Amino acid sequence: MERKVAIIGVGIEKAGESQVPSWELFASAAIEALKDADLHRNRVEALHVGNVYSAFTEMQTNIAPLMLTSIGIESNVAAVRYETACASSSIAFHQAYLGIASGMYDVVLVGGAERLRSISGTAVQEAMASSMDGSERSAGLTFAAYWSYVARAYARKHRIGDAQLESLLAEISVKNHYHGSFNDYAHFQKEVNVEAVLGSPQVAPPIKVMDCCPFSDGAAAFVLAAEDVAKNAKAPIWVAGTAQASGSYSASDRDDLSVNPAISVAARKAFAQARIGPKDIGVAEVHDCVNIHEVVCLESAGLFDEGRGIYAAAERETYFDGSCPVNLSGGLKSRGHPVGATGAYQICEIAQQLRGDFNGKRPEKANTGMTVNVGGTGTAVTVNIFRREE
Amino acid sequence: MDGTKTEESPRFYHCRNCTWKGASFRASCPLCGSFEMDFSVTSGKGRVVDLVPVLFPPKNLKNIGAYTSVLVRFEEGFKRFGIFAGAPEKLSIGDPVRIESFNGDTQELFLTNG
Repeated sequence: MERKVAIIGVGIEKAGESQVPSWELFASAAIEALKDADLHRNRVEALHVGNVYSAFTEMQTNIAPLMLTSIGIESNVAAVRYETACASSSIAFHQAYLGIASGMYDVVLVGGAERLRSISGTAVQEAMASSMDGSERSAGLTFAAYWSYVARAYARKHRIGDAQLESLLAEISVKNHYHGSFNDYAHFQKEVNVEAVLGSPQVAPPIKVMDCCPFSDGAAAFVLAAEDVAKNAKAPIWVAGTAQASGSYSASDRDDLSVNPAISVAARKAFAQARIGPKDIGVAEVHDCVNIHEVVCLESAGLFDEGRGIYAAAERETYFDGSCPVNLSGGLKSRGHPVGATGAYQICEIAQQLRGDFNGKRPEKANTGMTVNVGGTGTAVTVNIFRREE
Repeated sequence: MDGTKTEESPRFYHCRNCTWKGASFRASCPLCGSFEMDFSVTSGKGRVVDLVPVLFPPKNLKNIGAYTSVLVRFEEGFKRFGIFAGAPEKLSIGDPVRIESFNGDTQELFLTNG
């Protein structure tokens, strides 16, 4: 029989620029998570960690055992690194959940770490492009161009003019920067306005610089535990549903770029496990690598009807005091995007939101939270639902 | 001509059992599940499905500067991305295009009007 699993401790490093290697950054987050869980490191039976680019940016592979050693865990526990582009650490979580639910482990340390700011932006872009279909990349498709295709497909489908599209997208960046301005761990802790977003340099029209998230250094970790351990924790946040799905690797094969069927499939499974529906979600962190993707996540996960998600920020529905608070961390746009750690940040932030100790804007009341973490051109997806039990 | 050499046209893949066609290799058909897969070489002619100006080219295309990424539906029925080195104003959705050059080693595919 499947066992209940909970997050019992979290640790977050400030996203932005780090002078220390990713494994040391991760060790700091992991120690915070263990302290928060009030658990001795010797209780850790496995480490599941997300990291994508250490081979490119730090010339370091086999990073999971190195992270274990950096934490100070010298015992013979399992350690594995997951690489599924931007979804790496949430898939590390999904696998750790399965390990505990199956009875294999009682305590697993989970998280992610990335260091991207130590090399040139051009080199980072080249490394990130390796997460796309190689032949499409060679034929001129960039990530920015891909999200521009998505935005254009969305606008055509829902009959939104160019100027209105750009303005509505800008409202999403404004909203996420507003939330991020209250988050001490965010990469950019400052507000921006619509004019600044609209006036930022074009990258792949209609996508502009301020529609896109930054590349960040960062690390986040959490302690996942079986019910027998978690029931003694001070504030366990229970995993209510977790699902993973994969999208077609070639963007050219997809008929409709304005939706992501993999998100829909993962969301349906996660909601079924949790025995709730989209209206029960009190707070969400979703993957706004480019602001149009926040819309795709919201609609594909069922939080908004198709054609409605684009208006959510402008109508304040996704603000902290709105009907569906989204990305109160600032999202990837403002909190930052340490790629292999982003899913772990989302999970830690939702756990803190449900505990009521998130260091930033919080909804008035939320017992249930969701994360949507997506890698590549929508190819690797996890949807996770968490619950606080009264 | 098998679509793997420089200056040839690219391959597309298709199912012998149903109508599925795509630009990328599949060992089995994603539509019907058949293992009866095959490839052909495109005529190189198609129409624009959508296009996006790319103002910051990636490293492999730095030498051409800003360009237009184009999603094309080729006349055989499959879609594939290509590069249009001209100004985006010279292309619209639905316009006919053809392959100007293709490098089988790098998979770089350049398009021109017509």
